[in-house]
Amino acid sequence: MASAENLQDEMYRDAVSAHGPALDRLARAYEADSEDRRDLLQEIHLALWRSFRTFNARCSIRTWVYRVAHNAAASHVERSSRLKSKRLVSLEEVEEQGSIATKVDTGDSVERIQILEQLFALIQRLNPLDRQVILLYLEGLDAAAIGEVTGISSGYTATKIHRIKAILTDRFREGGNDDKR
Amino acid sequence: MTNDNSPDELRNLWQSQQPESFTMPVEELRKAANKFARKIFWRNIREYVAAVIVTIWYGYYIYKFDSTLVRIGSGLVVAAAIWISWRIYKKGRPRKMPEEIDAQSCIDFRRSELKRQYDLLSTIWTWYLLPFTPGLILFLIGLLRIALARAGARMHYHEIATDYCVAFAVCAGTFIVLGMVNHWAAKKLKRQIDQLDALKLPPS
Repeated sequence: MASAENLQDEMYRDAVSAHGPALDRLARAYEADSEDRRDLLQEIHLALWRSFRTFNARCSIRTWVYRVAHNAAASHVERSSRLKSKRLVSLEEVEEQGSIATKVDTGDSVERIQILEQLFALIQRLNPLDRQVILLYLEGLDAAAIGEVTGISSGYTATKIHRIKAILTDRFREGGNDDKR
Repeated sequence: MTNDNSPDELRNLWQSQQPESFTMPVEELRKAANKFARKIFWRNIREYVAAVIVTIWYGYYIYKFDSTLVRIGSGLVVAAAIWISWRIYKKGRPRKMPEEIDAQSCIDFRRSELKRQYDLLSTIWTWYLLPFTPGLILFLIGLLRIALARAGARMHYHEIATDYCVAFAVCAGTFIVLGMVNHWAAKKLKRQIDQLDALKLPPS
């Protein structure tokens, strides 16, 4: 019993040391307010620690961590009347809306912050599933890994990634500002 | 930075963020897990309290009225309230987040949540409205008979009949509106479930 608990604790610590920053970024993408973000992070960490009681090794630790974290975040949105009342859109709708692009120059820290703020604003407008896909894409996962975490078929994952790339290219290029609409 | 590869640059920028480091010691996690269990316990208690209030309310009618019909009707309403509370407890409450379900794919997780709500709403006639119907009908007929048996009732047949027609109509109307609202909500959930199912298949 004690060794099972130790194993659970150890797996949790390893997962957090490997994926902690990604979990923080995920929470920030769901909750703009710092206090609510902290609550969400606690929920995610609790769900993750609990989940390792039954880790079955049928998928990689990374896939497991992302699934648990995204599911906890989606439940958080479902429970929050404030977040639930927001009108969320799909990637298709974002693409259809067109863009006024933003200049991308990651060399300047002020501009980096502005770009990230606009990226967060874009992500926070998306419906849960499309939000999960874009976050996983930004974390560097390929189409197969995104499909494994989300359960979306490879064909649809490829289509969504293609759409994400088009939106990012279109919105974050030399030009003006975005998401003021 | 060039504009041609901005999605890749954005990925790098995203991953280069240095968020404040958040950690939770396992002792704190154990405490939070216990707190969560207590929260579930008190939520269940609240569900039972609603059933207890209905039981006391209609139990009082069983005690107060001599009419057999009113007593049977009240008894059936109490039985319906207990059955519905049990049903909500078993099927309708938010699940306790068993650990394995947390690690389902995002679509399966979302689908199971929607399906649970859909099952509850789409069958509301059979598990929520219908159990109350016989009890309420008998209760109202019993009250009607009491009213008609009162001295001088013959002088006011018309008023009594009108009052009880209104009472029946209000009950029936409430049931129909509840049924329709839940039917529409279930249809909306079904569309969402179908959309999720479609994403699991190759694009057509």
